[in-house]
Amino acid sequence: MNRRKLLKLGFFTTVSWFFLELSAKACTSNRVFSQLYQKLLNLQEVKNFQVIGERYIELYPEESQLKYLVARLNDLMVIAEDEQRGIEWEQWLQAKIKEDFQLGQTVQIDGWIFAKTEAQLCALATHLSGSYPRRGW
Amino acid sequence: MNPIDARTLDNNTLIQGDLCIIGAGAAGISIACELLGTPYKVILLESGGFEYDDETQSLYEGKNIGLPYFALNQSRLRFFGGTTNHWTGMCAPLDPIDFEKRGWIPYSGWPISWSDLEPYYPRAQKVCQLGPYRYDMEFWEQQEPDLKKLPLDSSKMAYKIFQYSPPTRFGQVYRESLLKANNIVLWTYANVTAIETTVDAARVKGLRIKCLTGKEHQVQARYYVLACGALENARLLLVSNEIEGDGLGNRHDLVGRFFMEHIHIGSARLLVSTSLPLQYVAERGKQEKVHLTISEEWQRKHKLLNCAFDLYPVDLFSSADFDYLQHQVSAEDIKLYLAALQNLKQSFAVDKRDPLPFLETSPTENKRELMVFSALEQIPNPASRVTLERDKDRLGMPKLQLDWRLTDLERQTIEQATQIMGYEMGRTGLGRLQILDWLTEKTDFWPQFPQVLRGGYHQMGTTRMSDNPKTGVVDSNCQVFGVSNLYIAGSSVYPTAGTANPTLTLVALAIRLADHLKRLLS
Repeated sequence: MNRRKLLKLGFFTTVSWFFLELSAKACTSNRVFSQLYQKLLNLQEVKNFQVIGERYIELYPEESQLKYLVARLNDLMVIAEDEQRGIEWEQWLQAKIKEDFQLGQTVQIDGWIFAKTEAQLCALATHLSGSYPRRGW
Repeated sequence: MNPIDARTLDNNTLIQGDLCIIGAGAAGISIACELLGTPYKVILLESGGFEYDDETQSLYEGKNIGLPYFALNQSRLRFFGGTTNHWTGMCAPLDPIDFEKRGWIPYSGWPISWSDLEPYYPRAQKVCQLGPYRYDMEFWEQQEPDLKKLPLDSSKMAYKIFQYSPPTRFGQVYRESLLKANNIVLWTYANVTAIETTVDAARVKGLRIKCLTGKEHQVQARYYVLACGALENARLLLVSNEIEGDGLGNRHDLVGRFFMEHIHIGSARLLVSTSLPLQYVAERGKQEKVHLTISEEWQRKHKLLNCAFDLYPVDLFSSADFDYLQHQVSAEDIKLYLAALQNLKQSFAVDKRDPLPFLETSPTENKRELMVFSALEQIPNPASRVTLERDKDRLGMPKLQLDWRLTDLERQTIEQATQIMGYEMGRTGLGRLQILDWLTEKTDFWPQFPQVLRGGYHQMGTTRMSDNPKTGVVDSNCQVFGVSNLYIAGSSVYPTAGTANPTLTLVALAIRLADHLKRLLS
């Protein structure tokens, strides 16, 4: 089983968990997560999103819960849900990263200075891949 | 008969002239050159000869009792040409803000402004054999097709251009013209051991000279210029304590205080997503080098010291000196992460256009990993000082001890400036920056010297310039307060240090002093 398949398996485990435990609203979110996650999987180095994400979750647990991240990245979810807006998520991400740096909305992960949004997207990727123990909504 | 070896003279020879310059380094030689062909008889005293010798160099031995610092007998050179015999030739004028009284920096402010010194910089530029007197980015962008400004916020970051002197070895380049001059006599192996004054210490009446062979001589002149470097200038004043017990010019206990260095300290690692022009990175190979700096506007707004960034390929440094290797998120992770962000993907491909010819092996693969050294002025600090110790050198002169100190403001500046750099790199998509551990840890310790913390071999500030004898050793004409015919040349007069290497400014000040002395002599 290659890495990509493993990651997909992790993702669907996470989604199944949502499906079992949460409401219809969460089901919608699951679909959006799925689309977003597909986009992330299209990136060649999604593993490195997860490396950063894992460390972020360790260093900033209060900002790394799935519920919190979903709320923070809501705009991205909306874009991800709309298939017509294919590449917009990347543009949105770049703009948000730029804005975060401009406003000093940053985090330090092992000394690396990141925009909060990108760190949180990395954390989301980590959650979605199931590579990090879930801490619940 | 020029030069004259003081060891060959009869004992107790009296040397007389109009102007005596003590020290033949960048400052002393610059003044002597300005007086070439004038009707005034100039005595130029040099402790050594034309070549390095251990015996003379050992007269620079001293102790470091503060922060670790370079050995005092290795951080400067004691023969004709002085420390220019091994300088790298990096030059830039100070910035206008460096001369200002800045409310957030204690003891800041020169008694002269940038515009007072500016006319002398083009003359100093020629003495240091530099290119056009242009230090603006716009000019160099036109000269160099591959040099471009980065898309940085100009309210936060700016550019400082440095030019490289060949480097001018003052002792070689100006030797012939000085030795041919009818009005200048160079005395080699002539060590000044005391400045003797009238009983009221209001005038210098002569100098005592000793040779390592044991001979002693006297010098008498109308005017005297002390140009021995920031450590020795203070030492000579402090040992000249026959009349004034605490040393000449030291009525307010200022001589030797306010010792400054340029702090050069590894503060971050930078992964850049694009190929930076060589001028931002390379040490050599171009006529100019560009430092990114914190803008004047940002310095004022956030009460920071003047701070620049010097970028080097990370390959030049031992990873053991920088403890980032322990981290879970590695540079490789960040590089791959950035590559995954679509707009950066292509730019992380290895670009073989960038040779770094000064390196033995070209670090093409890692050249986008840069070590960021913050290069900044330090706060003028009276506790950072040189004093005399009990041990004496072979001439019987007390040796120096240096107590180099830094404060929290330097650390705060490094931290905030590095963060701004990190924000700007991220905002512009140029890359990501990793702040080094020593800066993120909340301790009072400075990192190890000289691997991470180092100076620039730039000793400054021990006989600072002021408009008030209570706050300075020399006035705005570089005359020692209260001693009418004694002047000081060199970086010891700097009240603040800026981020520019000191030589161009000290040569400009020396030329300015030479003009002043010519007026006095006439």
